[in-house]
Amino acid sequence: MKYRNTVYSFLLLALALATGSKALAQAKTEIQKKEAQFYKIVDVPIPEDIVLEVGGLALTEDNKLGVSTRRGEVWLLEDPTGKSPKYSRYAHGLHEALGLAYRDNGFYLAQRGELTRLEDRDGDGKADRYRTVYSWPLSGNYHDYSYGPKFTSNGDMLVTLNLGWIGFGASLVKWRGWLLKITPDGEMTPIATGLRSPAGFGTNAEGDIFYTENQGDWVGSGRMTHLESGDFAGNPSGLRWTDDPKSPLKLKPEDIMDESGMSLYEYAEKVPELKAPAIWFPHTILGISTSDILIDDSEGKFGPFEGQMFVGDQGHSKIMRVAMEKINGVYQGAAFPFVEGFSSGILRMIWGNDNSMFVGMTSRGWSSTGSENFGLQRLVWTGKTPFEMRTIQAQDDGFLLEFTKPIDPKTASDLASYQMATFTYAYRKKYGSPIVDQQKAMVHKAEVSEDGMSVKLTVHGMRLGYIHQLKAGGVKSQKGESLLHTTGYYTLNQVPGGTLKSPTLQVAGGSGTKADQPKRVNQMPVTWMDGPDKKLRMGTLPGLKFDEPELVVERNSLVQLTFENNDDMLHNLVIVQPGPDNADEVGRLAMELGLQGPDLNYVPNSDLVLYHTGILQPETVENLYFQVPKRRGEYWILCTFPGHSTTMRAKLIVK
Amino acid sequence: METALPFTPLGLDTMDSFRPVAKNWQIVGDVYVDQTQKRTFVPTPGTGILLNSPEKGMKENLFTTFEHGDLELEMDVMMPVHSNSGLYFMGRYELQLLDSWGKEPPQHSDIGGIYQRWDNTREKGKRGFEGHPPKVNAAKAPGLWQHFKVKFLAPRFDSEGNKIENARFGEVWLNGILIHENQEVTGPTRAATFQDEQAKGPLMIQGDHGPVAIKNMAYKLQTGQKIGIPTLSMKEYSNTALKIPNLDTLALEREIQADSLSALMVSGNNSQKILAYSGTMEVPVSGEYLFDMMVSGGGALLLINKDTVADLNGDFFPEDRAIGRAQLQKGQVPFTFIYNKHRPYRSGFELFVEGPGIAKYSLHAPGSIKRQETDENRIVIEPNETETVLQRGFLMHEGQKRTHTISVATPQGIHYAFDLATGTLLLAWGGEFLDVTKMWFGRGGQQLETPLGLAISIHGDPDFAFLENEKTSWPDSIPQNTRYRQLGYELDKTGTPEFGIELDQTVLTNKFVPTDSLRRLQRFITVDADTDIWHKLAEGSRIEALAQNTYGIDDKQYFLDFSGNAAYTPVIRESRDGGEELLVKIPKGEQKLAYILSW
Repeated sequence: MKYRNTVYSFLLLALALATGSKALAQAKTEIQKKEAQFYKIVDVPIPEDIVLEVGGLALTEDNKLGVSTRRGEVWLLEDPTGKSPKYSRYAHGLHEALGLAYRDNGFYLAQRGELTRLEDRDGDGKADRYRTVYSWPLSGNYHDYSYGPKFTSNGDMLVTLNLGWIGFGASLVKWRGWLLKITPDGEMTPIATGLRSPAGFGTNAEGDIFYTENQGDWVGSGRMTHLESGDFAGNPSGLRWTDDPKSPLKLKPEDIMDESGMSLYEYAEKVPELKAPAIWFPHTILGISTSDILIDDSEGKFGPFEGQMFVGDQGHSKIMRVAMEKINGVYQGAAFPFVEGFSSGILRMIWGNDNSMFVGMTSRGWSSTGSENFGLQRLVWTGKTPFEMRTIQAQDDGFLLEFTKPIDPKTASDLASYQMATFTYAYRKKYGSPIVDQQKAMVHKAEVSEDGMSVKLTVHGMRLGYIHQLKAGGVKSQKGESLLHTTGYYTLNQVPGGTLKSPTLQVAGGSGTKADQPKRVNQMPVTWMDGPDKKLRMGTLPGLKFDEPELVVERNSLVQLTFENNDDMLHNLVIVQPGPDNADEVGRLAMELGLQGPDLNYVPNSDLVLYHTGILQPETVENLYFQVPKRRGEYWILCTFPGHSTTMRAKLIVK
Repeated sequence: METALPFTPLGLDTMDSFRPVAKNWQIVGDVYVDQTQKRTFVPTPGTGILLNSPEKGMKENLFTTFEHGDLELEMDVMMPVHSNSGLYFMGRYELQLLDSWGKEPPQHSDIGGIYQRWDNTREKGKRGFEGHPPKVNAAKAPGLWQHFKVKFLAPRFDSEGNKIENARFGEVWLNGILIHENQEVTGPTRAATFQDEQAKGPLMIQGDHGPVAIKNMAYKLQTGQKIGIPTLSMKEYSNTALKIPNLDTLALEREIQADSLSALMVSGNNSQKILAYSGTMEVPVSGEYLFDMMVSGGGALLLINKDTVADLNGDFFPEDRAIGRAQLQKGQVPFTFIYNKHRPYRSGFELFVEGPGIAKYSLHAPGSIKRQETDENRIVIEPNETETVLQRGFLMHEGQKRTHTISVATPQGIHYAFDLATGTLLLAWGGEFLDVTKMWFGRGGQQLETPLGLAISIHGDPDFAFLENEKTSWPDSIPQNTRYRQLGYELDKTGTPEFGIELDQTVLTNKFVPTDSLRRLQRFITVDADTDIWHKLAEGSRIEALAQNTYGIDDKQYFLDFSGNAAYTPVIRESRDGGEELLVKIPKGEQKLAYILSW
């Protein structure tokens, strides 16, 4: 197919000419360099004339990689793990195929409006049969994405249907916001609803279904939920269709309060259909838009995480790791950082036949920290074992931490090696949630196992229904290595035996106490008798941009800067010392704030920061008053919300 | 809703609209083109159609009694096989009329071309100059009505009679395709009646080259005048209410003298404000004026002389235009225009005016509304000369968004859109294929694919139905007790799809193949039903049975050639909407039929 697209060809040209600056922009961070010793990110080359906005990945029996794209093509890559795979187009003209599976000599994929089987009957390498397995209605809304299929063990298929977007998530036609099961003959059964943006889902070895969700309305943060027939995962829009005789539940949208003041776990105790997540991925810390789920069934050929799940993230171009366990019949577990620094927004992950992981990406319409519009990469285990917390397992009075390498008994039994906190998110109609009800928890005892591979922590202050942040930064391996990633997040729904024996901690203060930040002045200083010398404004544009490339001010002048956050995301505005590296450094420091971030408006305490606003909700405004520095130069204006600072930049020019 | 003032129809009941002319020009009631004959019409007596039938010694050109300067003109033209004529604006500047069906690439001498000028003093071979071919060949088949829409601008002269601006074809649309834009012409065409240039002249239709038929002629004589706005002030308020509140209850944020109407004047970005303009219009001539108002999301209100003329007071989008008309007297007229930008993420309004002798133009300043898709980020799928190109997406058809459609480009350059959910052919077109910018640029808010090129629109109802009897009205949507099931499609060696659909357990297939490089698309249908099944072939204001089992659809907008299906007899009957529809009953059992659409 020939496309005519001036911008696109211009971009390709610009990239070809500017590979130097591209390399600079994508320079590895410290953590990426460390991760790369154990897991290497390798590019799968894409020919220049192919727009490979990856929607789905599937491997054929003869080791060809099938790639479905948002532009509706299916490509076949011969020798996909080789240096220069050969691309041939298997199918085209499809409607945004956001999934791909291979079975019985053909591909299955979800288009926006149907589940389709593709076959190449004459063997010329091109599909000649596009068979509709099952079709569903569409509203015409751009946000009606459809994902899948994934096969169940008995050969049925699962698809998930995204909600439309009309200022909020809406199920405009039947089965949007649902998980459906479809037989190869086209018999459809609705399984569960409450889904909002269910791009990632799959089954584990036991055949249980999990899906990942993105922060949004009714979704405080990214999460993974175990779905069974009749479950309601949290967004009430899809409940519209529960009158249908096929619906396995009867709950209606109006049964759910817009603002209950409860967490989802608490609300689920009142509404049995509502399913609390098995895993929470704290927003901005473990990604911002979770995507595919991939289970490590490599039997150790991908490193020490056999049986665990890897979860992609579109906005942060990274992969997280999940160690799940099932307690009292309920799934829960720990999420960890795994590898970051992919080239675009991760949507799909599958295994190659050499036990490397194919990672398929697209970021069109939704920017990602990996700056490419689309990409295909592989993650390859180097054979070296990283020193990591392999699992965190819940006990009725603490946690058992299992490591990938023998631990140093001294540091591992030192209580100062551990820090813990618990928190959750509000369950509400409003988009997203702040971290709520944050408390410290305390490690009281740390006992190293005889084999030196694990440590039992006795913890005070554990809370059911909360996320437990566990930082084990002080623990060393026997050989003296530090942990590659120091922190895990355990979602505690159950404890073995059913009774929590961790004593309650009475903690004063905690979150909610906003830090005193003297570089943020929102009232005009009384000493400015004649008012500001200059009033300026700065706004935002979609796609992580300020709407002015630069602001020009006189040195020493008194300035009122009005920051208007017109975007549909959170942003701040931080003025940073001149110097090419300072913007990167402040961005990095902000990223490292972790859970403290929200309380500090995501602004690090650094001399590089001159002035800053708070973190602004969408569609809010803040006035910032400051005196311009006396030194002339080009100062930076940044948004330091995690993931934004590399692209969301402007200049403050002091004349 | 009419978005413009009415044109003045040029009466075609008699020849009174024209200067006296020889008998080659006459008024008839209908015309039909015999495809086997060159330059031949078969007329029917009556009124409404202007027909030229030149003969030896009787082939005069025709002039309107009116003289024009700036002119907007609309008309339908029919060309018989191989015929030639021309439209001479001011009797001087020619738009060519010719049977140019399938001509690639089109020349200045093809239909819609601005015919060349001639200079005998030039070197041989270069004597013809400044011919302007149409941007694309938008010619329909001979015997079909072809629609012209022209905005012509006369040359300008100073007080001493010196020409200071050339004549221009502002816009020329043929069959819905823009074929000229702002095309200057430096002087009269070769065969012009007048060789000088003047501020006014009659419209001339060439009569000496070949037969031509014309109907629905209508025009607007424009004077180039505009409404002035001598005084204008603007008050800005904060407001989030959808309905415009009493402005006195709002806190005034600023008041300024303004020199234009523009949404860019809203302060803050993505803020929620009201801009209330008040001022006076200097009305140049008494008469009926039309105001055309649009907001990109939000509300607006136009009051003139305290009368509400255009009302978008509430929550509106670009598709909700408000059109208001007002009788205005010459002189100063007070007006108020209120823009209610209550939607933070939407900004922009448009306000157009048209009046007696005043061509429609914008009262809002340029930039008052931003367009997201620009030429720069346009994404177009082109046809492929060696294989069929398919693309699924959402598609607008007769104002309705269809969600399960596929657009298909054939190597022959004939394309079509098919609704997979109901087995319905929606559109057929030729030329360029598909603009997918609205689907593939950024998030693609509308997710639309837009056909490019000269399209004909088919009825859009379900194409197949089980009817109780031949009086049963055609279903406009799928009855609840009937179920369509999409089966998908299979591609043959050339990549041509055959679509399958199941209607109450009856399997139907549809396949479309161009017969050649002309705009002719053949449809092949197979069906195996347990009872008789009906197929709706076409719908339109009028359906005519012509020779050779061919039908003229929707007053000869396109042809449907049903020959070769001797076993079936189509029926023409009244449609749901009071027009006509063409149906055929397909008996039960294994059946095949095939027919050709051409346009």
